[in-house]
Amino acid sequence: MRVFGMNLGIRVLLIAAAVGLAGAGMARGAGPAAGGVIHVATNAEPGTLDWTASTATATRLVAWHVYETLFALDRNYDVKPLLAEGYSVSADGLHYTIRLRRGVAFHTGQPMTADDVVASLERWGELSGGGRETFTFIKHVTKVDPATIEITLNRVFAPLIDNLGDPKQAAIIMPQSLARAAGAQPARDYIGTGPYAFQKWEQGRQIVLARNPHYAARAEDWGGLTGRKVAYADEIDFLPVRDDQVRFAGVSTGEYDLALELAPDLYPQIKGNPHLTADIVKVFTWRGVVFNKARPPFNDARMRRAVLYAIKPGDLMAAVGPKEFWSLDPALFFPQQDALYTTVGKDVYNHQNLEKARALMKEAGYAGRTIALLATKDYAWNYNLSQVLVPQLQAAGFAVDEQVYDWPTLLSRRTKKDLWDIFLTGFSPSFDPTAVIFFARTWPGFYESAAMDDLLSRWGQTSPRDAAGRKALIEQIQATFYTDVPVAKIGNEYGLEVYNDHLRGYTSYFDVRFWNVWVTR
Amino acid sequence: MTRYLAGRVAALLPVLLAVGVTAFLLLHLIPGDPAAVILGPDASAAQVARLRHALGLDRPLAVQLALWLGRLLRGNLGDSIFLRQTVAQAIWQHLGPTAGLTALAEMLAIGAAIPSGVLAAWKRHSRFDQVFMSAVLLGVSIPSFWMGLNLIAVFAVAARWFPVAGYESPLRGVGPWLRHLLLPALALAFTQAGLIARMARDATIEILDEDYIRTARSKGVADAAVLLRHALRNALIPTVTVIGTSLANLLSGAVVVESVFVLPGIGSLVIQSVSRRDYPVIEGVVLFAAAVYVLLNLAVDLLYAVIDPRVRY
Repeated sequence: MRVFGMNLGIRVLLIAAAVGLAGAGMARGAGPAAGGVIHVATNAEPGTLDWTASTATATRLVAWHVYETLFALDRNYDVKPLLAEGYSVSADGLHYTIRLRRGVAFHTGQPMTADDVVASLERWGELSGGGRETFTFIKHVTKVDPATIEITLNRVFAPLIDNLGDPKQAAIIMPQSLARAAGAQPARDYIGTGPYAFQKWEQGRQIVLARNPHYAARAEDWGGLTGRKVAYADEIDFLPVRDDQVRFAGVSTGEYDLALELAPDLYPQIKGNPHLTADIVKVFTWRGVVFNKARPPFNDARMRRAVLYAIKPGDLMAAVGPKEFWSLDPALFFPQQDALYTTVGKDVYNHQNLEKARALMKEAGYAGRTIALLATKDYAWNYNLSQVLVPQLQAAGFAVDEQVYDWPTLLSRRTKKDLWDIFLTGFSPSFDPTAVIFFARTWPGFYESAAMDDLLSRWGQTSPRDAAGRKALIEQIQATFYTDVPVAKIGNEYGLEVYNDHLRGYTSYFDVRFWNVWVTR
Repeated sequence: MTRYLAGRVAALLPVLLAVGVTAFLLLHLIPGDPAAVILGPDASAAQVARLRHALGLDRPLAVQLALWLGRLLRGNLGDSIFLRQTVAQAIWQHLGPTAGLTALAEMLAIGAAIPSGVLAAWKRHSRFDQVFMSAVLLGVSIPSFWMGLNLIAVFAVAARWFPVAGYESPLRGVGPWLRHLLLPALALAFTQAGLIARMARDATIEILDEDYIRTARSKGVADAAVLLRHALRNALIPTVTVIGTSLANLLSGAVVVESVFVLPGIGSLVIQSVSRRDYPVIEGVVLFAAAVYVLLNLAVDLLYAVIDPRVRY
């Protein structure tokens, strides 16, 4: 909610915050210390903590303290073992033998066994979108012995291990009894193997996690979501605080240790305060224009390319925030994701050319049919972007009808093929091309492309160890992204988090984590 | 009196039924989907469809309405889709902060508004009255969320007298409870006090012009006695009306203030439930709010009889 009269309030608040903190000298402890409570002010309360059931960020950033997966991303976004000890693949690529780490126990104290893993993976295959996709390649998952499982494929599927480590389609491991009881519904008892255990959830007030006394940590320093994890704090409290002024005020006074997702216009105040640290999250999201490819005019790829030439990404991103908070980049993945990043398409992306756009529109036979653009004021970036996008499209000759809805309404309308032509959204990081959501036919946008399907299936045949083969494929995938244009990329947007002097050992990642982090209080 | 009361309470039922059915239909006619919210932004249409089926949201609207009404008649508001509890439990659990907040805000508002309003009427057109009228205008004009943010800036961030936001149950001590509620109550009371004070002043002015006040004065009754025994008591009738209706409005103001101050009250429950389309909870809270509204009006009507002996039921 942005209201004209609020500006003065914000200013008063910020000045007061700076003055207040200047007087509060804080002790600087040397090394890690156990104890204390980490208070995290979040922007949204999750619908569930079942990380397999939900792809929402609000779920993930709480749930990955509670649950773990067989494999997980390290600090460089490469997949490494977590609950798995290691794995081997048969020569034909159809049999994966995964050895489980010994000595891992659930929060109840009960040891994790192959039975739990088999039941959890089967549930993942039923419940999660990525899991279902992966299970189309899986013949069966079986227990070999209490500490080993085998996954048998019906055809070669090289991204299997990557998908088991995908943090957005998480294959979490829970006790067999709970996995069976929950089935295809979100779980209601949150028992995992993570460094923190679920304690209580007071709706609208807090989610409390407490240190897991049974936690069996790995030894490796891998960072990210795997490697050595130490739960220094006794407790983590996640507090849903909707107003970002209040989140900022609370982190300034020390009531919160870290506040998520602040508006970029708070950045100068954070920089000016020696007790606060701004964490600019660069692997955050990228903004794009999604086309409805199930009806005219955007069922024609030429019309979609016309939009690519009609828009000026720099002007659009300027509507999102100050220059420190975005970059222009043609890629489907983020520059930090070494194995997946390529700049193919840079000769098309960010090359506004209205002549070309009009020529393509003419070629496609566009006769001025009104385009329904869905926008929302629930998110400032969405409405602001639409305010710049509409005139840019109009300048190229598109007739645009901007329809503003609340976010749930927009989410519902976009699933109906006959109600819209364009909407704006953000794509949080994907960790495999087969996991890019808008490549799926069923996802709003309804993208169908034989060329892309072929590339993705070849990706599925290419071993992760064949780095050169994968690189070549990623380049072709991105090239096809720029000929098909299922989505017109606008630019990468960064997130802003802030934490204060009390919080130590914190490192930036695509979403917040609080193991290996301690508080001085 | 008993008959009157029974009649009024009986009249509550059709009102609640009409409100309930309207709310149910409106909610289900606006687009949006709790399944999509649970599953997150990367869920496929097929996944959403399966969860909708599991939640019973794919049944015809008439069937859903009939099921809901059937449960309602048995006194069951249903289960929340998101919270692990029934709607009745959710409302009960969120009632404490809202009740505390509105009661405190109302007390602060009445405590400030009635004395100052009566005094302003007594000293009509004086400097005090002018300042009073300006303050009242400010009170009714300033949005409560803006007031809230400023109170946070001054009293929580700069002075550090109060926490920025959050809530403590009174069971864990009245002190912490008050510390968390005072700023939001002030933010809410400001508008409320403006409304009540203006009514108190106007009503008192009207009474002060009555013949019986002149008579009382001419008999030599002291100013304070005239004001308290004769003027205030009569001016209370319209003022109580305003307090009653505005107390109901206070609930809607609480929605905003609870959101700013992160109080886990009915207002937060409503906002959360609307954005997630937790239909049973929204329907339950709407019914609850309607009942509160009707009962508050009834309470105001009954209070008339207490304040004014001429009113009988």
